[in-house]
Amino acid sequence: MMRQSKQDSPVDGLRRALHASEARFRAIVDRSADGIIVLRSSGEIVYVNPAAEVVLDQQAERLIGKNFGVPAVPGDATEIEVIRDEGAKIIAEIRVVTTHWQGKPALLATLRDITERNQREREIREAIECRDHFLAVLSHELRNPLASIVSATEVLRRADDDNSQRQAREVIERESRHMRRMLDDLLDVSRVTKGKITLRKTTVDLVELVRHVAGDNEALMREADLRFKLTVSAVPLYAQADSTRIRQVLTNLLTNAVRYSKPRGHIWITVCCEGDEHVIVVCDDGVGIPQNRLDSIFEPFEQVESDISRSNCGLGMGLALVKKLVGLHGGSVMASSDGPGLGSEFAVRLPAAPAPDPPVIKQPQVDEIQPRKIFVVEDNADARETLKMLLELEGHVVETAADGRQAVDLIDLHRPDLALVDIGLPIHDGYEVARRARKRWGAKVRLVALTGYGQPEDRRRALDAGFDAHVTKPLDYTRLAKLIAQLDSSNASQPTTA
Amino acid sequence: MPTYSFQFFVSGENAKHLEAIESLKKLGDSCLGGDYELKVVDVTRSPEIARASGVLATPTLIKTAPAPRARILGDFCNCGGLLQQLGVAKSRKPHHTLASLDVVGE
Repeated sequence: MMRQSKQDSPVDGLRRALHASEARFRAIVDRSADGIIVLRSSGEIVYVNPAAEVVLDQQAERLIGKNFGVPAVPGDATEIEVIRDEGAKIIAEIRVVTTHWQGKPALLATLRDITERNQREREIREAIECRDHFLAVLSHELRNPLASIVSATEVLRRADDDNSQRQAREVIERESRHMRRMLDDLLDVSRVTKGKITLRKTTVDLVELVRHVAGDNEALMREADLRFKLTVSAVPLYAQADSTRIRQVLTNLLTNAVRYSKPRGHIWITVCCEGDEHVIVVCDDGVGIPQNRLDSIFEPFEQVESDISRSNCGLGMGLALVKKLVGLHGGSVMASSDGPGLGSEFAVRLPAAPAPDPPVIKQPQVDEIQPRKIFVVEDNADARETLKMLLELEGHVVETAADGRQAVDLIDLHRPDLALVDIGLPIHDGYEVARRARKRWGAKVRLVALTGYGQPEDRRRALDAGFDAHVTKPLDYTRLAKLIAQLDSSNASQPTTA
Repeated sequence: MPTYSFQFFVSGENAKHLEAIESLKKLGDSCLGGDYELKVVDVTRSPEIARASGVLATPTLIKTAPAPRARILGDFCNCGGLLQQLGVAKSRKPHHTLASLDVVGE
């Protein structure tokens, strides 16, 4: 009997090499992130890898022998929906190549779960659509007041009677206010969305606040030929609220009612208490809201009239802001309407708060405005000259500079009490001007940043550069007057924002 | 009874599904002379039919008659070669074929 050799035969070696090769390739297929399935030409599944089990949500034993179907993939790849148990589904991208399985023609399909990718793509597409729509609305909505301002300016140039000039001035004031409010809303929505608005809550009497807002908007309603009725509780209704923000909410609701009302229409506001909530209802008999838009109306950029060419309804930011601000107060806002042409109703609910302690009565302080040396640094000639004119009308002595270098040179020469410095300046920007001025003059000069950038980080950056205050364009002259008045007490120079 | 019967499984209703159904109807009218029946099954509404038919993914088209049964899944907006893939021999008009495989019944 022959002794078996301890060494492998050539066949054993080949077998081992074959096993090693198969293990190698099996590991590749098993570890593939993409699902791989092999189908007979009838569509019957003969092989699935672990990733395919995950995509198809079934074990290989259950899948083998089932008919998957012959994939119809006209190009490189197509999408299919894989049905999961309990009605769920995922989107898979399928690619197919022909192959052989056990000597017969077969198909090799790869499956990739693209549900999340599709979702992200959809979100991006929607965001782009939203942005495009917004830009179109923004462009349209800014053009309208701008057109009025341009015409009114032309009237001022040509007309020599007082009445026309007064009317033109009123148009400019009104339309500038409108543009300013749109831009403020836009900025505020962005800030609320990013969680950057901090409420300054105090105990507020909602009845009194509503009265003020109604009073502020009386002229607006009169101009639109609308009848207004206010029904309020006989007793104060207190809430813990940021009065500025709730005023903003009510102003937005009221201007919204005005925009969507027809001449000789009606607007009603009621304020009452319901259980542990106070309810403010703004109601009109205007164009109304279709039922399917009652929820989406609070989304940014939404307008009841979606046809831009026919709309004159603002940026569609007002109600988005209302919802976010009321939400920040722990309240809610709801829209209701019986349909187009049947008016609409907005109900704001805020948690009730106990009455405050009796207030300590302070003697009112009277600010005395004294002429000051003011330095205006602004590269836009119109903005610079109009601001100069305005300040001179108040009796101040005004010098100007048009760029950063000029500003740094002239500030030494003029040594102003106050410098109003634009941020986006040629040569040296406003921050650099502030740094240099502060280095040379310390706290002797009061520096106010004048900028179109109104985000909190812009304010912080301005204060870090040495500015005492940060004022957003367009300039609110009442606030500017306050800043100038504060110069008297500016020795204790605390950073302020306006 | 029409000679050909098809079941078309979709999940939900979207523009692509509607386009696919239109495309299939056109194909049936032009190549089968209208001698067919096409039942559309929404698997989100009738999951039991999908389960009973062993449908794993949508859109899936099953030729239920005449025998043998055959099924295809994927993109039906471009139906060239579809009938051949389903093993449908009858053709009123010559049509373009894409399939490189001989499809046999299930």
